[in-house]
Amino acid sequence: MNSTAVTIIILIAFIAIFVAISLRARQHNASTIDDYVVGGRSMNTALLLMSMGATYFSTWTLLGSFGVYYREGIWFAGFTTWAIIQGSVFIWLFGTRIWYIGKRFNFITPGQMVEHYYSSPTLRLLFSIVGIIALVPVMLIQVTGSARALESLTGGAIPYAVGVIVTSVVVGFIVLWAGFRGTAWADAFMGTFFATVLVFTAVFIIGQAGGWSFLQNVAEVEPQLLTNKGNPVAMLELWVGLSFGAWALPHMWQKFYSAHSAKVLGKVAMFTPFWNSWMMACIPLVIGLSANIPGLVPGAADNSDAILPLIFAEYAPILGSFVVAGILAAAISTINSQLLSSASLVAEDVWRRFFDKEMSEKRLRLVNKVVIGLITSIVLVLALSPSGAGYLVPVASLGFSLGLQLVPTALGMLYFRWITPAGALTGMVVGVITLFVSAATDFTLFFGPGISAIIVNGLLVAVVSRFTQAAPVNGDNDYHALFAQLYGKQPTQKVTAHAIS
Amino acid sequence: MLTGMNRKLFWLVLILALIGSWLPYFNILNGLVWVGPLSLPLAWVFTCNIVLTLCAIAMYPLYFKPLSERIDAFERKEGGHE
Repeated sequence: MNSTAVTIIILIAFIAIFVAISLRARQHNASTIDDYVVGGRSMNTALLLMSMGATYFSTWTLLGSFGVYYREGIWFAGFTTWAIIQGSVFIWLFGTRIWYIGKRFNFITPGQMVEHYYSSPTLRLLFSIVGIIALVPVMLIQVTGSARALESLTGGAIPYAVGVIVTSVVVGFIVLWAGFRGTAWADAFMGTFFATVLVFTAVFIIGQAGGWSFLQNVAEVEPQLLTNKGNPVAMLELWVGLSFGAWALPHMWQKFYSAHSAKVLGKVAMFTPFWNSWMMACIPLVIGLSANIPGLVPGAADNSDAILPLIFAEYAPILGSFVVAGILAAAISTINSQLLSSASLVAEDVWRRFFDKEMSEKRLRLVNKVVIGLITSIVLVLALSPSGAGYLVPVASLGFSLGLQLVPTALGMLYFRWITPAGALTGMVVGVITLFVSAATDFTLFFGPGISAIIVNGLLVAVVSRFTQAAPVNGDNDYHALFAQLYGKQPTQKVTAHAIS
Repeated sequence: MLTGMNRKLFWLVLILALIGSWLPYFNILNGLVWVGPLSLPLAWVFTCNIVLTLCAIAMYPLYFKPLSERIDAFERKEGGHE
């Protein structure tokens, strides 16, 4: 049997396992929208940890991150530190507050919280639209990226079109039938598989690269990679964009909603550094740097984004099929949460809110499923027409930067009472426009488009909020008074007075 | 009182480790000197990462567990009022 046949058999087996796990998880679903979109707010530590990790780490981790370490050396080690902070401190600072408000008021989308707090349907609509624009193009590039990788790694045996269809259909199927719980279990399976591949590869490569002295061997050929080349601004942009942009994106927001308790979030925060940083960020560092040793990974210099597949091609061709399967799994586990989230935003924040307020829960579930089918079809069609996808690729690269534009509005609900609905709305609109203009014209002020736009956004929020009315308090939407009690600080006189007025 | 002190210490250590991890970007602790099998800047970043990982673990007893207890108490109190 030739290697292509083996690859195809392994891929089919892999997809079958993926689907079976999702469908098994589905058996535990209650037929409520809450269960379908946020897993009935019952996610335990292991599932949430794996699900968050799998969502963060996409095909880029299996392909691109190795190449960045290969080319940039330990300059990129700042990413390992980011992975710790983002996964632990941010869960405390933002995740717990989002989770509690979501649980208290049964929210399933971020937009519901926005309208409840700011009493502004327009702001809710805008928040959701920006979220959808941030997510859908990213899904598209995940589909096209994994299809191209599958085509190239199998020497054309799995053509691009087949890769696109397989990825889209599998994702659509899992999300449509199994909802949040199914995607979480699929993520857990993928994460375990992915981690196993990475650990074994790292141990093997370190052994091949000279054991404990592997970095000294790298230094003999590329000494500059073992010191930091500087350029802190570029790393800062990466940190700010990924850190703030990531937690404010709707699919991550809904993962916070899905936690069973504050203790679960705390345990996720405790274990995330081991998963996100020591596993998913440090292993590519070790392997990417080692690939600089001459002869260790033939072809790495010409195609540094394919270091992992090249390693398998060189040392264990028969196992290369597992890398192909891993790439597919990484894409699916990133897209599934984004697809479910986008669909819920369209169904709840747009359709139910503005066109059919009396919609029953059963019908909302149905609308969610129809939207999942529609988005899957749109992504599939765009991915199959390169010209269509071409328009969205630049938008996709702005995904986290778009998420960043949601942050001031979110901070108004979670921390800063002084942010007003008009301030949040103006800041977000102008921030998004600035982002697109800046990206389209390559005009930036010292920082890149994302940071430039959030600076403009933040300044406008501060100025407009200074001259406009605060969010009206109607009894149960005074999140700040609630947080003051729960987080161990008594409300100040000002807060109490505001709450009463 | 002790918790308050611990929390202040926690944030101090966290912020110092965070700032510390950036030193090699400003060419501090950035020489090609070997600390065991690692180059100095990499060893330094990993040391900061270890400290930050310990901080992440410390967050559970310092912040998450007390929050969970306060939420339980708050909800019991609310339930009692209803």
